[in-house]
Amino acid sequence: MSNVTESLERLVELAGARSAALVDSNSGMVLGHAGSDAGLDIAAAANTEVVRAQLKSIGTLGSTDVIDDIIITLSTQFDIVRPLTANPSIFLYLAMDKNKSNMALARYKVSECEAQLEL
Amino acid sequence: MSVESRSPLRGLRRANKEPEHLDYSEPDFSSWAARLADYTPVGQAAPAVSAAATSATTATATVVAATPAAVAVDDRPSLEEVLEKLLSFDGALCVAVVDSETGMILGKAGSGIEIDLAAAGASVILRARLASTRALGNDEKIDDVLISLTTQVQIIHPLPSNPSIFTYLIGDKAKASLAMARYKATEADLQIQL
Repeated sequence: MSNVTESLERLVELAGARSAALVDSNSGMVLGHAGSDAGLDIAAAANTEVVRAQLKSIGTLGSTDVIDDIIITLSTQFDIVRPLTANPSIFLYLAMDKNKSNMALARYKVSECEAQLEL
Repeated sequence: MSVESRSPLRGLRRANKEPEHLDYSEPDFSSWAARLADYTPVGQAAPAVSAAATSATTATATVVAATPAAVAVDDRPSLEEVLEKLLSFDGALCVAVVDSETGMILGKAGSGIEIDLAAAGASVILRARLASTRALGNDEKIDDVLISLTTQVQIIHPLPSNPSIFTYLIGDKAKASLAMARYKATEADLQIQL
């Protein structure tokens, strides 16, 4: 039973949340999204590049590490990218308003959401 | 001690205190003069020292007076010092300053990681994100990228003065505080001179 939409809806209820999405980094396609952000598709594609680059870097280093999460801080916003434990090529993406939100709480909520997510 | 500084002291000695057991039988006082030359009264030793101290102070004052011109250059430590300081956060493994355009390392400190490869990887990440931010059409700059892996935390922190160059911090996830490492990276911004 998929709960993608509900999970993403819960994420965007966070104070300062702009949008949330579930993205497939193999294709850069958005599997599900919530919140209103005009550039969500492009942002998803952008973060896809980041995740791919990081996975490639880990591969090059010959490390057995997996990505827990990646937080990108911009001037007015921060993005949390969290690959699913079950399927690291799919990641959760949450965009937050930097001035209205709590990064630590958002990070925790994303990890909680990831744990509960069923595709 | 030079002759010019000894001669005024000799005058003072004659006025205040004379050496004991002087032999007044000697008509030319030659041995007396010889003994006087070697004699340094306790009270007189201090001025000589303070005179030396004064000259030292003057020398310091000259140095201090000369410093302000150099402050602008010498105030900021060298890249190696900044990197060593950066490495002082708990659980730090490696720090580096990297040019993201080429992926090459400008300076590094620490060990335990193939920093050259990791820096190249981080450059790709930063470039990918910068390119996509440009594609988005907004000119938001990247403050930092925090990456948590299973055993590591990594921070990619572009310099505000030159966003294509970034400080790269790698810490042990079990020991390092991501927030503290992030703070250190921000703090180092002001000190890094290239």
